[in-house]
Amino acid sequence: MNKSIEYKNISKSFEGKVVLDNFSHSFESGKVHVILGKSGMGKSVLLKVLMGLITPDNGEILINNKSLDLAKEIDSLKVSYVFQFSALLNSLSVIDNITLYLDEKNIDTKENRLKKAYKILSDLDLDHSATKNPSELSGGMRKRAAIARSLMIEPDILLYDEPTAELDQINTGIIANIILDLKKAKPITQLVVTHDISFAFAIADTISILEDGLINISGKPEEIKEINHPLLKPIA
Amino acid sequence: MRGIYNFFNSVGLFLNLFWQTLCSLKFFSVSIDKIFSQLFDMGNRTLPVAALISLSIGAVLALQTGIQLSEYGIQDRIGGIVGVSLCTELAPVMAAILMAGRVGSSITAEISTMSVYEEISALKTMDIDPIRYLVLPRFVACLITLPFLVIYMDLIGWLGGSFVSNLNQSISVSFSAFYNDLSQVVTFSDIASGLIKSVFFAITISITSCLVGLTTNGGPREIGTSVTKSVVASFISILILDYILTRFLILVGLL
Ligand SMILES: Nc1ncnc2c1ncn2[C@@H]1O[C@H](COP(=O)(O)OP(=O)(O)O)[C@@H](O)[C@H]1O
Ligand SMILES: [Mg+2]
Repeated sequence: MNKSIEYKNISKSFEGKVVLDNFSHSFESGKVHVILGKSGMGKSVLLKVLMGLITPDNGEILINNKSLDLAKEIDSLKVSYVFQFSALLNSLSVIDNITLYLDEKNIDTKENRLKKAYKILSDLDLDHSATKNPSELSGGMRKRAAIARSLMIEPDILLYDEPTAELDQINTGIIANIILDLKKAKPITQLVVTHDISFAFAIADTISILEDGLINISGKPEEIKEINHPLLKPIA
Repeated sequence: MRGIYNFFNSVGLFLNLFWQTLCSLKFFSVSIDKIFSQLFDMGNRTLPVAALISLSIGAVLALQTGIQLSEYGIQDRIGGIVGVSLCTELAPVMAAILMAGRVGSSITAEISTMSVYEEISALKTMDIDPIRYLVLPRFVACLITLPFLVIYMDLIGWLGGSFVSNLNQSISVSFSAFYNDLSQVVTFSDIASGLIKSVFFAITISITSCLVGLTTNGGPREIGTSVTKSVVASFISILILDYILTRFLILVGLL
């Protein structure tokens, strides 16, 4: 089995408070993996370590048995992150947010950058809001704009931090469809951290439960459903 | 002990950010657009208030010293006194205080908001260096704006002083007498001293306000705290630095 992402003995504490304790877990490539866990359990920390935003105290992350840095360097592996509150740059319009990466890296011509951005925006049904400021968008639109921004860098691994927090049922369904469409269209590995149980079961290839800095329960949605875990109570 | 540790820690962070900003100067040419938009913004925030402040400082300075001088019958020296005090001390310090209050505070507010709402992290996920993207344009723009502001305040302050000297009954020094004395007393090195000070102040204000913004964490409540912290830190640094720089400039014979 091709284990694409492997957390190996990762530990992380903040001011003596242990968040991840010798954490090890693997995620297969090309799949949608959902991580459930109570708030404050370290779900965001888990994703941020993979993103490179947080340096672990110990341990390493292997991508196809290569270290993360090496994979980025040699295989030009790209990881992107959809932030919980979208984190669009408020000083820029939506379209400038989307093209920001290509603009700053000076990749391709301005015309092609815009063409690529508008293609992604229209796939996500946002093209009509391109010239607006992020603050003028609804929560659901902001989330889609954040996903669009991530897709511009053509990531191999896409991380979502509670993508449906603060979204209603309809918008949650839209995000679920985007994740499922991406899985069909691209060889992309998606890690999704969430609280939302029905959303989790709608998108997941695997579900893992993060508790006390460890994942002890992990498996296919059907298997997880059998386990009478307190976190899954809402669907019982 | 904790206070001493924090002080040296902050100085270390300051020097580190300053150094990294200097290193990012190699991206100067691709940042021109951002620098211009910062320059425009900084000018807008400071020029009207700076005119008001320097006009009134020049006027009050002329009024107070002019009346004193006229008691000794040497009021024709007023131009030199107003000229030197403004360009060596008052204009650079007032310009810096104004810059810290109007520009530094808004830099910290903007960047700390970006930190709190993870916009800075988002830049990092796109492999965009926040120092190059945010600090560099503000640093360069500050470095251009502040010396310019000092010259601007020198000129307007002198104007205010000459008006009062001319119009006040007990001083009554003509414009030509005022500027004649000023041009004889104020030397190039007096003006240069003010500009040298302003360069140091510009570095202090821009790096401090960016640093406080970038190191803000926690919730939205922290934004207000950070802005206050940044302005107070800039004020204190300006005042301490002013004394040190004045000593230094006297030592090297510029003052
Ligand atoms: N940058 C940080 N500095 C200090 N503590 C942090 C930081 N990031 C996370 N933590 C702490 O780590 C724990 C896990 O946080 P997080 O991963 O955000 O939880 P969640 O599972 O809700 O996403 C929390 O107790 C939080 O206070
Ligand atoms: Mg979280």
